Amino acid sequence: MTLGYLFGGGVGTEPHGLELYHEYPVVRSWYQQVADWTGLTVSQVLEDDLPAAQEERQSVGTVREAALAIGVHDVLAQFGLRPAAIGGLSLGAMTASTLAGALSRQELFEMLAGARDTPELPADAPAQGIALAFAQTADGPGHPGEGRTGIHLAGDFGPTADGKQRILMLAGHAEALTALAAEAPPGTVVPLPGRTIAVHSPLRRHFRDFMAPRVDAMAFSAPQLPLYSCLERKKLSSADDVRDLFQRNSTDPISLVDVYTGMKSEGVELGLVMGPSIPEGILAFPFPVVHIEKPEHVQQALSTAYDLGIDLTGGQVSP
Amino acid sequence: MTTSSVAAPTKLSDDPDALVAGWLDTDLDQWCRGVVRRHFHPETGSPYWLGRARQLDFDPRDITRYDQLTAFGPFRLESLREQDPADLVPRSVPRPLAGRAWDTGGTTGTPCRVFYTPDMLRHRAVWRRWSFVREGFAPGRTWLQATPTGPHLIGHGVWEVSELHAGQAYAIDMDPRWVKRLIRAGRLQDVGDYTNHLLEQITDVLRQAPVHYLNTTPALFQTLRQRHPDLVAALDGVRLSGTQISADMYRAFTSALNGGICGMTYGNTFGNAACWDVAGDGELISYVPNFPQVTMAVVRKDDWSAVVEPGAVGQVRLTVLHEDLFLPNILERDQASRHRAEAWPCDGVANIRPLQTTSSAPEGLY
Repeated sequence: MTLGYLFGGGVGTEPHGLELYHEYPVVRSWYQQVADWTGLTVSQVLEDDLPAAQEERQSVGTVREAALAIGVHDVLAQFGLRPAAIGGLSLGAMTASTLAGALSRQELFEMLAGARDTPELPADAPAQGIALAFAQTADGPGHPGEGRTGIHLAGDFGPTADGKQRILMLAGHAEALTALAAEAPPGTVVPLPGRTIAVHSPLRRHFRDFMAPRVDAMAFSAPQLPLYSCLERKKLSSADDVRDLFQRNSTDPISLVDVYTGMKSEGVELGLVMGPSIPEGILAFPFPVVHIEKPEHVQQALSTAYDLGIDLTGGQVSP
Repeated sequence: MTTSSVAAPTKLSDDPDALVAGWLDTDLDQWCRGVVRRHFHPETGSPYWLGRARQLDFDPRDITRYDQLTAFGPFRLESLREQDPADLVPRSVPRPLAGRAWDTGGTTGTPCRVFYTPDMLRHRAVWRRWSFVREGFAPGRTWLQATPTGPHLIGHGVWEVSELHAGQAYAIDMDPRWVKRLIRAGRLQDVGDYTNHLLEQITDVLRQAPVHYLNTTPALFQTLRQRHPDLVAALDGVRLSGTQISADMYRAFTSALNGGICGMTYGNTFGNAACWDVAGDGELISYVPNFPQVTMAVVRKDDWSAVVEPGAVGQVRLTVLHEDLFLPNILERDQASRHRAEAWPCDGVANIRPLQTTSSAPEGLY
């Protein structure tokens, strides 16, 4: 019986993690550490409004999400819970790589903070966006925007919990996405308001190029845990594998299916979703999952691990 | 006022199969009217509900359909921690009451307590026997009951096995509230010690005498399977009582049992559901409630009155419609997918998990 840790992607607009911060001293000291590394205040990491400028907003948002995910990991570690396999989507893939020991926490957070210096696109550049697309399950990751100029498949979240649909993410020019949504059957293509970066698409090339020298200079090492990629169906086993993921992450499409299929092959029988970045109850997983974003979810994770017959005796007393 | 739709008292000598057939043929609206009117009868109703009636803005005796029970709102479980459990039993049941108060397993705080009249216990036992037969558990066999006992109704299975299924029964006790308390306190080493303590008692019995069937929790059975596969392989079957069992666990259990029965039930002291079907090698495990005394619905987590579409996941809402106990709209701390079983007169539930209440908007995917 093994545990898998899953980390989501994206940057939410609402602050999360306040309850965990107030409940657990280990989370408070961790946020202070993140603040020291990034030059942000704890309040900026935890709950302040995100900055308005696009790349700076994205940078602070990623620091916030990664800080919470690692904070959850550290709370669970206090109880002796350790993952037998690990993986994530987008930012979550980088967080998972860090917790797998492929790079230091400090390097991750300095990289995320450094992304705020990415040059903004020219003011007259076409507006970007992302949309969710709901496809027939049997269609696989083919998408309704296929072949249309300015629209790219950016993500595959796999089948929904009821097995009736498959959720995909499209990225591209906002105008093209809006036009596609208007033409497609109602409710099948839904542009996400406020998401103005065409993530995981060729439109992020300038970001990738800006970050490339920094990623090249980072010290990666071979993961110490089974670490599964979100860019293809692959276990990342070397420093170069992880570096390649960091380099391609911003422009290549992501797949949750690839991550959880790999974890399943590793024998994972209970998945713990770190933080709020993968909503509960919407997607199908090949194993039970517990989503952790509040203190009561930590208790639920422990109870579920017990109910599923996981040996908890490696735990230490630090509620 | 009529209570004609409420069944006559059940006797041990009654044909249990005929009883079940009759219950399954029951018109739920008519049954519901009978139970509600029995509990709200001005002279012979239950003290608790007559007290509540004064606070309601409608006359419960006007209720004619099952789906109107939402008018009562979610049942306040605190009442079952504060109130004398006898007050929920209609006065038409002769006083002093004969029977027992049972606790919910509970995870936090004071347990909820409900009084089971002898009739209620017999109804439950008849359903339990029905599921034994359906799952293939033969009468006249030896059982080991390794579940909570004492104040927990699941432990009454010893009586059910012996009286209605001609069985011999051994029993050991486990305290689920102690386990939860240890987990809450982070005393995980103590959890392991307690599990070892239980396993020692289980293996003692299994080695002392031939035992055909084991009734226990999925968690304990998982540990027994891992540490003593020989003892599991020697069983003719296991009956698992608990909240959740994953597809991987089901596959591991059936493999370890080597052709033995893997029976399952879902429920608690308020009401039970028997396993209806296992599909996809354990990917879908469905249950149907003990109709009409127990009904279940799967409702939206953000709107307890809205039943979700078949196959969709939501919170389990339980309604108890015993003649002697009326508990409408209990919002369980479990979630499930709504399951429609052919030939069953009400909704079932599938793939039970502890309730998760977190962000669930698709927009949060990225």
